Amino acid sequence: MEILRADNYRLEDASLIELTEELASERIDKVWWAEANLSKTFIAEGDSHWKWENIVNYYSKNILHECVALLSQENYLEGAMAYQLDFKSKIEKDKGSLYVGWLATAPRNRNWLVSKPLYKGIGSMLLYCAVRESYASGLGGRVSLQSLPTSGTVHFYENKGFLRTDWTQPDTGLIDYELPKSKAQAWLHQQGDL
Amino acid sequence: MKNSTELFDGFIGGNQPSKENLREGLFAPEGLTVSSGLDKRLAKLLTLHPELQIRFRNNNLTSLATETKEALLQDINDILGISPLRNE
Repeated sequence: MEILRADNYRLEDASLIELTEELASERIDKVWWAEANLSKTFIAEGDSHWKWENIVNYYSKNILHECVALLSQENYLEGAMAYQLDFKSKIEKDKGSLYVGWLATAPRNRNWLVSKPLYKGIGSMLLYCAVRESYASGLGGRVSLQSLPTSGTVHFYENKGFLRTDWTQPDTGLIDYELPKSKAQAWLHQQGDL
Repeated sequence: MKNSTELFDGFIGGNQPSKENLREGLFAPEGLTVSSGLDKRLAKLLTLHPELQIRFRNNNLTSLATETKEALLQDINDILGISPLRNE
């Protein structure tokens, strides 16, 4: 697969790898938030306390759970994601969906944290990998997730065709979204995978 | 994927889904040993689609040759209507 360089907008090869506890500990937990050019203000980021080693440990016990990471040519984990395949679709009764429980772009790729991010769109690429996995698992490409209600994020999901599915639930401060099969497969077609 | 509505660089989630949002009755085939990506794909499909376990109940993955597993995967994909993804 390919990821987009932020400085010259060129695509570079990258690999989607299985995330192990050791990799999560050594290459994410000890690295992402410890880099010298990240100031203390970044502690306010909602995911800065996440322990990917613990997430991987939890997700390693079930064949329907998986943790993956995007490895760049610089041998750096540019983003990571944990998902499970046993979620119920809220749009199509009796159908399943892939639920993205945890997804994060490495802080060095967030343009609101650093002046010169290295790559752009790591989160969208991971989300696209979730769509591919859902499709290959016979779930039609359906993907479910909970999003922060920030305007940029909401705009991204809705542009991709995600539908809100939390209208009848108590307000949690998060928005439940599901990418329906038709929109998922349109995305796969757009990327040349189908 | 170059414009801002096509790109996402933040984080998602941080919560486990509640039990009522999970499908029930999904169990991995008994005695399943996964030792390759192909095994894992078959195991996930057989677990997610329990009706396939009845159809392919005599197939113990550990005893099958790779070619046989590939043929099994093709059969399962045909049954479920899954087209091969081009950029595997």
